[in-house]
Amino acid sequence: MATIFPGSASVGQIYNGYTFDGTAWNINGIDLTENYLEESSASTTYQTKLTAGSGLSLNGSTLGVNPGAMLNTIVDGTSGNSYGLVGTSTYLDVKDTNGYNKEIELDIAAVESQLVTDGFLKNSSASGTYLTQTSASTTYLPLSAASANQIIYKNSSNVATGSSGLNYDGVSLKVNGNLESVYSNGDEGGEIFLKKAATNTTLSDGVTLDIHQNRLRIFETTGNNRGAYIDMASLPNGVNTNLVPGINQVIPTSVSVGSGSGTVAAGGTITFSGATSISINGCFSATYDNYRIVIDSYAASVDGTNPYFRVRSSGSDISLTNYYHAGRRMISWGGASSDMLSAGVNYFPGVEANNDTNTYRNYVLEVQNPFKSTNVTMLFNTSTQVGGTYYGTGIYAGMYRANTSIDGISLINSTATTGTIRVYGYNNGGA
Amino acid sequence: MELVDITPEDSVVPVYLEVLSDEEQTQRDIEMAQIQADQESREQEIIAKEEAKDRGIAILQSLGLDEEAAKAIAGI
Repeated sequence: MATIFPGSASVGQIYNGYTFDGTAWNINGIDLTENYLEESSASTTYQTKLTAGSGLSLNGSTLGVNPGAMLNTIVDGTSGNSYGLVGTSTYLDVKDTNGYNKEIELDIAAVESQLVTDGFLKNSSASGTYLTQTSASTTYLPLSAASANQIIYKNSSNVATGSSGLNYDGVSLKVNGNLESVYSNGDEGGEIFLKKAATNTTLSDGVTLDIHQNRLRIFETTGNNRGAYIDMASLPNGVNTNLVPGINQVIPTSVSVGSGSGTVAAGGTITFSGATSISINGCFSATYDNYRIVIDSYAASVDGTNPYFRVRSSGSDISLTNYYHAGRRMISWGGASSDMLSAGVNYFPGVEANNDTNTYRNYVLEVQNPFKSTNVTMLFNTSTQVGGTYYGTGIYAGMYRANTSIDGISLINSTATTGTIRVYGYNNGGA
Repeated sequence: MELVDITPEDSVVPVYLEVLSDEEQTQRDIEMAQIQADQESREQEIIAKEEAKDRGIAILQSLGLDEEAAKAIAGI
C-alpha cells in the first residue's frame, strides 16, 4: 500500500519510516541519491534496519537481498582499484568501480544449465537454488575421490574413484595387478617400448616388445631393427619349455687350489695359475642331471706323473676304492698304445704323462648323474697331452660306484699348471 | 688340511689355498706314487700280455702256420 505523505514537512521530519530531506521523502537507512542502493551513513535521521517486504535487510554490517523482490542486485566496492558485482536480469558482471568497465560477465542462467548437464546437482532451500558437485558427476572428477599418488578414474559403475591398484608419484607408475596392451589391428598386437640407455649402447632409440602374427618379438625399434622372436605357435602346449640354452655354464660355490692362485669369473669360468691341484665345490647340484667339464691347462715343465681325478662330496675328495674305469691310451713314447682296466681303485685317470716341456693338457669330461645319490656317477674323459717332445691321448670311461651324492670334482697334478676350467650343465628343456 | 682364503677381488666365489701339514703332504705324495705305480703296473701288465701274444704268434708262424691261423690260435 502506498504511503501518503503530509502535504508539507520540514527538513528532517520523520513520517512512517521516511525522512524528509527538504526535497523528497527517503527510506530511513537507505540512500537513494544514486542509481544504486547503499547504506546511509550513521545518522540519527536514519534507521539501520528496514521493514520487511522491501526486499532488503540490513542487520549489522550485512546486507541481504531477496532475489524474489529485486530485479537487480548491486554490491559496490570502494572507489579506486576495487571491483563490485553488478547484476542484471541475465548477467552477473564484475566491474571496476571506476567507470564501471565490465571485467567479467557471467550468464548465470546458462552457467547453471551447463553445470546441471555436466552432473552438478541442483538443490533448493529457503534461500533459493544452489548447485553441488557429487561423485556421480559424469563430466567433472572430484579430487576428493582419490588418495595421494592415486589416479582418478571412472569405475565400472561410471563413478569417479581413486585407483588403489595404480599409483603414480610423478616419476614411476606402479601397478598392483596386470598391465595390458590390448591393441589389436591386422597383424599387429600389443606393444611396449623401452627407451635405450644413455651410455654404452649402440641402439638407435630403444627396444620394442610386441606381438606380430604368432610371434613374440624383441627388437631395436628403429635403425637396423636388430632383434629376435619366439614363434609361439611352434611351442608345445602348457608353459613347460625352458628357453635357456641347452647347455649352461655353472658357477661353483667355491674353489680351492693346492698351490698358486685361482679366481672365478662372473660367468663361472675358473682360472688357476701354478696349481698342483684344483678342487671345484658345488658345481654339481639338483639343477642339472648331467654335466660337461672342459679343462685347458699348460705347464712349462711337467714330470711323468699321471694326473688324475677324484669326485668330491661336501668339500672333500672321495678317496674310497669305488672307482672303476676302462680305457685306451695312445702315446708317442715307449709302449705306444695300450688298454687300461681298473676296478676298485681310488682315482679316475687323467692323462698319460711324460717328462716334457711346454706341455698342454686338455680334458673334456662328461659326468652323468653325479648329484643323485641313488645312482652311480658315470665319468667319461677324453684327454690330450702335447709337449715339446711327446704327445698322446687317452679315452677313459668309468664310474664312481656308490650311492653317494657327488657335488664337486678335483684334478690332481704333481706339477703346477695354469689354465681354465668350465663346468656346463645340460638343460633338459622341461622334459 | 687348512683352507686359507685367497679370494681375489674379481672372483665371484671364494677361492682357498689348501695348506697340508707335513704329514698330509707326505701322505699325498705316497698316494700319488701309489697311483702312478698302479697305473704303470696295469699298463705294463697289458703291454706284457700284448708282447706275449705277439711272441706266440711269431712262434706259430715259424712252425708253418700262416698269420691268420696263428692269430686265431693266439685268441686275437
